[in-house]
Amino acid sequence: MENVLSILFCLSLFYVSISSRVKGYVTVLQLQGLLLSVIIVIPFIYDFSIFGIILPVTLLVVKVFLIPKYIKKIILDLDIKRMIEPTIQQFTFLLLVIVSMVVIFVVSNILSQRTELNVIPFASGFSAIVIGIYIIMFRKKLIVHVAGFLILENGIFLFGTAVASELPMMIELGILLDVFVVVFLMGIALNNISSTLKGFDVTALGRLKD
Amino acid sequence: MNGLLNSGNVLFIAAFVIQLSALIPVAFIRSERKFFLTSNIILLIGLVIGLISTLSSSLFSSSQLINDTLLFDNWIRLDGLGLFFLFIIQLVAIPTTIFNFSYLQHYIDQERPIKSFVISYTVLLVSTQFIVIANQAILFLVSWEVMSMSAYLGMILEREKEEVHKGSFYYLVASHVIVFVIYIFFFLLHHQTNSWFLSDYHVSLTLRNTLPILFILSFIGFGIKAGFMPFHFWLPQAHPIAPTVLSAFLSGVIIKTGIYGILRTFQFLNPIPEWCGWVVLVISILSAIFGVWYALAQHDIKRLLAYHSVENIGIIGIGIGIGFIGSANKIPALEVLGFGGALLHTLNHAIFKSLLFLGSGVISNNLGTRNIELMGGIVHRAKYLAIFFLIGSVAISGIPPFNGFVSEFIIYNGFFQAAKELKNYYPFIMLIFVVGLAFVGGLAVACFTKINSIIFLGTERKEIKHFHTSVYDYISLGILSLLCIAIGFYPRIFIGIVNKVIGSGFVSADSSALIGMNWLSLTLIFSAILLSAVVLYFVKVKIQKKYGRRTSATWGCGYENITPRMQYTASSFADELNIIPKTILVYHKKVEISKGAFPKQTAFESHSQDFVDNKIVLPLYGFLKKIISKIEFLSQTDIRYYIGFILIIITVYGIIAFLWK
Amino acid sequence: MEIEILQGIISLLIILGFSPLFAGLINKLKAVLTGRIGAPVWQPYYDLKRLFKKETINATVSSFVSRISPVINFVTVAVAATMLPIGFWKPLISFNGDIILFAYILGLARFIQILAAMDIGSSFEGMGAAREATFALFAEPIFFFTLGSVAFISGLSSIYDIYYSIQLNNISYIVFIVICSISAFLLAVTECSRMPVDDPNTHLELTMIHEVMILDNSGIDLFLYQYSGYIKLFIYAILEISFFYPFSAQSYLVGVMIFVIGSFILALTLATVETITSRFKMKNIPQYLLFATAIGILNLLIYTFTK
Repeated sequence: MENVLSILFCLSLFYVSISSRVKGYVTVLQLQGLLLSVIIVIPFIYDFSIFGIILPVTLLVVKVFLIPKYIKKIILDLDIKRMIEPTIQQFTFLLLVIVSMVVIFVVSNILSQRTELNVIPFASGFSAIVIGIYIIMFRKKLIVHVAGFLILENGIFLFGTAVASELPMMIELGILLDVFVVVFLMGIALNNISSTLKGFDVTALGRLKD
Repeated sequence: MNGLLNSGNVLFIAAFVIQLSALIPVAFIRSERKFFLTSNIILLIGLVIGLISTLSSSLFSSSQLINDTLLFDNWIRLDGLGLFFLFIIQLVAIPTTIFNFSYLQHYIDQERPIKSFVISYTVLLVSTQFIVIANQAILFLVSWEVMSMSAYLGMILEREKEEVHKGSFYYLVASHVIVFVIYIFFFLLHHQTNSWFLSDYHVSLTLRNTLPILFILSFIGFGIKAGFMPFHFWLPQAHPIAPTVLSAFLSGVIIKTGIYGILRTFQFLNPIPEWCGWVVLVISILSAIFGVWYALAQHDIKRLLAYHSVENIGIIGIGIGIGFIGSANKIPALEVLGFGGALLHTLNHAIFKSLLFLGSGVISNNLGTRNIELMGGIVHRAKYLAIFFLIGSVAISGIPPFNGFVSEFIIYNGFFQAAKELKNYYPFIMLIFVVGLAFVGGLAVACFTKINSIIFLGTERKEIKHFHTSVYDYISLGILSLLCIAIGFYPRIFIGIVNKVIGSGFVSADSSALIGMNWLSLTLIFSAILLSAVVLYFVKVKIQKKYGRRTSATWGCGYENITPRMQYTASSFADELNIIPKTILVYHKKVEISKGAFPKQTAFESHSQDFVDNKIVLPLYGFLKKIISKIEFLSQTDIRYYIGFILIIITVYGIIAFLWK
Repeated sequence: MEIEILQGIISLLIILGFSPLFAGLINKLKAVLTGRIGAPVWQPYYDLKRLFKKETINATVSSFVSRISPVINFVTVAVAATMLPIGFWKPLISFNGDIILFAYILGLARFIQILAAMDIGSSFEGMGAAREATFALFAEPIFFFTLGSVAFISGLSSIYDIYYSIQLNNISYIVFIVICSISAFLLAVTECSRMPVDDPNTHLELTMIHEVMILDNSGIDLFLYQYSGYIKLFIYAILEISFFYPFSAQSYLVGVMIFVIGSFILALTLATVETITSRFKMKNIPQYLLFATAIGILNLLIYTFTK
């Protein structure tokens, strides 16, 4: 079951790499949040505990409702254009994603022979981290960078579940809070940039360096 | 001596003697035209006799085994591989020599001296045949050198043109590098085995630490000749500028000597480690994909065909790679399919590539240009030329029912076999190669629909004053087309021959994987397609008679003054594909669009340059030139100093030789 | 042996006979979904009958390629159809490696059709031909990553055997097959020039791929092109449906029922997709096809590593 969800996670990664609208990114973030919470909830079906259920529920609330809603609000408030403005062709980007994914899967399979880990979630999380970085590298808009960062974070989450089934819950909650704060800060930054520079391109940030 | 004088060998020797005697008329016939006619006829007779003697050898007889004949104190060896390549050379040489009759006439009409070309062409044919039968390393190297140089001398027929200088120089440099590398290769082999005979070369298991060096040397040396991808840079430079007959022979046969060399190396080094197979496989698939992609971006028809040679060499290499992997893992079925596909594709490529080159020669001679953007509508001038070219194109794209499909089919089956026999990761890796090969097929379809439609179909982009085709053109093209059809429709015979070649000294054990395939169903299906298409065609004609048929002008979307220049062009046809790997193809577009109420002229250009040539070879050349120019002062001094240099070098060499002991 | 041949011939006749019906079904369902009454399901048959009786008009600049192209197109598509199983009957042509012949024989149809389009000498057809060549190229890998990956995993290379080997008893294999069929659906959409890639209904030449290539044909030529188009659509539909045969239950009746129900569901899916999506921009099509390929690669990777 975990594997099937991880496959869906990977498919969402493909979708995000050909999507050319900011809206698509938000939808994918919601979907991934949902998938992650289901993946984390699965162990608790057999072994129920109130304390353990807190994390999935928080995850669900934060990732599926709060953050996407906040991003949507920023888009509306700041009147950001819908296109994502890539720096390389989408086709090349997808090709890059495929090649990296193949490499990651092969590498993680080799790793799994040495250690005890679940290959598919591990590799999916790993790919999400890499693709999140790619998104930050090859997109111009800051709001897309936020989305890329969140995908990266989702990747870390999935990665964590694959390596050890029970990370201390406080740490995970801590990460979650961290992410939320970062998104919030970026939102403020975006607000400020828009009020001073009248644009949301990262290229505009280059002018700030002096 | 008994073996020497039996009837088959007499015929064999006679063939070479007659071929060489084509040079005799140069001594006493003054007239260019008469000389070339006599010489060409003698050469043709020699080739036909040679082909007959090859066909009467044990490779083509019904017996199961091939006699490994050694002649002239072991200097000449007729074994399966050699005979197969000899067959390919003679098979292609006959149509090109027939083509000579009409092609060189064109040069005689221009009053250009062609004596030297005829001589170098004859020498080229003979030396190429010698390469594949030579059993003595020195004889091999000498024939190799003679082949390279005579091809160069033939290439510079139109030596007053600037592009000829450039292209032939590329060829010259590449040839020298090859000779240098394979000299080292043979000396190393000699060092290991203490023999000059190719039949003695078996790298023994104790000396296997030199195997990687030997393999890499051989792959670089013969790989440059064959035109694998990073070493292909000379092909697209040399092919376009050579006379058509020569470029057909160059692309059809001479680059195959590289394949011959690699296969011989395999015999020397067998059993080969698996990494060699992977190296060959990866380089080959890259050659195949990017060869055809470069081809798609070209406007010069001969350059385009030259890049297609890179693609097809890639496909042959894929077969060889599968064979290597099979040999490393001791799976006879895989070896048979891999080497079988490679050998059959070598034969097929020799046939259809020379067909296409000769066809392009007829066109470019009549139109005076090789730029396909200026062609069009030739089907209305020369219908049969269009049909022959179409057959060649369908065959080279690997599409049934012609011969290209048969060899690609074997290679695909090799991949299936590999996935089946070697479990683990192999299915996945093999599937990626299969997809690569399918991708190459798709690109080849795009490329050959492009050139066929731009050259032959539609209306004439540049007015053709008159289009002349001679009977010799049709004979040579017809022979090659018939071969394409024969191998495609009835592959069994050729499969049998290839299987025998592989049986003699390639596989570790016999396997029926190649002959055991269902060749009969292919024959039946292709015949069914042909038959039902013919029947349906006549039915269609009959129905059209009943309900009427007429011709009318193409709908111009309401626009009245349609000119031929409004047709789709080759660059626009390929544009969508070319912009994808822009950086690797070094593909540039220049568009000038004028605006305003009274727009002036607009212009569009697109170019593609070779990545390897531009980014690796030319910088390297520039670098070497810079270094050499620094020691140039040495060559400007007095002759007495030269003697001093010789003395120094001899001393140094002597010291090294002394210490080497 | 004789019975097998007879069964193969019946399968072929079914494909030849019912392919226009399938196209008609899609159009009808699409009409219903968009709130129209729509043409009857039999409309493609009427269209074909009408075309059959029309006069043929050829372009003045056209050559022999235009004359033979419709015929070769029809014959090759029909031969490709004889390699596919219907129900549990063995097809007429079935030998090791026919999966390659299948792909390449459709390549022959494409080759000759592109040439015939360029034969007219009009830039509209040229544009269609160029697009067909480009998009077909990116569709080729999808075929091998769907059917081919099943073939490579089972070690079989005949289409009938490949489908026959599909056993739905292992969960990871079921997931594998389902995702394969998604990829195959995307392939079918491309190859049959359906909606997100190509629009079969519009008559604005600049937006079409397949339709624009046959723009200057009429009469019996157009009849053959249309008919082979319908057969091709049905062929890809069969490729898709055959993923869902539980071949362990080998009853012909069950097979036929699954086939009929599967065709209906597929027609419904195609119609729904065509209703709710709009056509892509031309420059986005390669990346759509690469997306389908990516699904195939991922699927195979995951299956290889979970075994």
